[in-house]
Amino acid sequence: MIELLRRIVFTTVLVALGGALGTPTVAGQMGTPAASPVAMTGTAAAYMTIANAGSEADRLLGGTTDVAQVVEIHEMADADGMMQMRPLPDVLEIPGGGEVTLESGGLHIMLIGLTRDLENGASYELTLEFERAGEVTVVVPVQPRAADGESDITTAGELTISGAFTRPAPMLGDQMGMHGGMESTPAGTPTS
Amino acid sequence: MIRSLLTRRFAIGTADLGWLKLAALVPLLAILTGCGTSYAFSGSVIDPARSAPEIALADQERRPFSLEDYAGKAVVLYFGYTTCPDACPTTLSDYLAVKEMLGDRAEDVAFVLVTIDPERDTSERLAEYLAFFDPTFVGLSGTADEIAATARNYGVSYARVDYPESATGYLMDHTTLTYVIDPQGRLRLTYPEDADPADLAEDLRHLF
Repeated sequence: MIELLRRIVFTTVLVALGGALGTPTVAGQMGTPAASPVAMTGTAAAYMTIANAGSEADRLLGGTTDVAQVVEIHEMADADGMMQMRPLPDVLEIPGGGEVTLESGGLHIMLIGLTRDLENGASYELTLEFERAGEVTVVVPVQPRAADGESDITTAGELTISGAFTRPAPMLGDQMGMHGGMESTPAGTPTS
Repeated sequence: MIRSLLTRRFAIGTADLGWLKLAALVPLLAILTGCGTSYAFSGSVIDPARSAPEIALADQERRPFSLEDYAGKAVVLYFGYTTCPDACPTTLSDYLAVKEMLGDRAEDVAFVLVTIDPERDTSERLAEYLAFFDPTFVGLSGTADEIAATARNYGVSYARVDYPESATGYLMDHTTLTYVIDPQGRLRLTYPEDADPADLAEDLRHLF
């Protein structure tokens, strides 16, 4: 039953996104081609609000940062208490005169393969590539939750990016390599 | 006198007021007669509380874990995985806040993460991951079958979903509830992912 619900919601999300973003493509256009090896050294998520004061839509194409090997855009969906996460199958559109909020339980920029610990109180630079605004570098503070008051605002052309933050997350040793772990000993296997 | 009065109110309620109003009367009765507590938990109360299913897994030091070792303590339980960028770091950050709010009482509360991704989450990886947040947090793993049995006992759903186009390779869909086991070893409360850490801390205080 849960499996059925999961599929229904998943399909609904796909259909809804299809309507919002045009026809979803199967091939990922975001981030690095799948063939590139990525060490699974931990992940983190960046959140922010991107507002577009222009009359025409802009589109977030991808991003880069020193603190992670790959940047992808993912979306969470709550299917009856079960959180589903998946890479966005297409670019993220910021409608003209509108805004898109990336937040917990919804859209987020996923940092894959961390290259260092993201400690509480630190910050890092994230460069986002937009179709119209071009490359925009945002300084992202690392903190446990969204700032209550005013936060740093980055403007680029018609775009305003505010409220950016990332929760603390560790860089982990890559014990398995990319997509690996098949041959690894399961954790918890008795050692005696 | 008060009791007989209340009994009469009770009888009238049953006859005339209907179940809705009767239900509203019950907490009032409890307060007036002193036979209950006026504290209302913020979390969803599992009623009747049942004995928490055993968790036969190993911790990040590969020591066997048993709930019996936590008798007299509250256990805050979560099912997640270390490659999870959104829900799990949010929850662990919240647990840090809860622990701080609990002050000295934190010594009587164990925070436990059960991985639902044993393929990637070795004991070593869990140890490294949790040490970053708080070295007292417990990380449990086991074989895929052991994890599945534990999750089933707690009503946790999870599923591996392959994304060959993503650098992550695959992601896990999973239930993001927090479970609380009381000091008597009973499964008592659950919380959604976006629950306020202050509510969880206050509820935990009232379990002792």
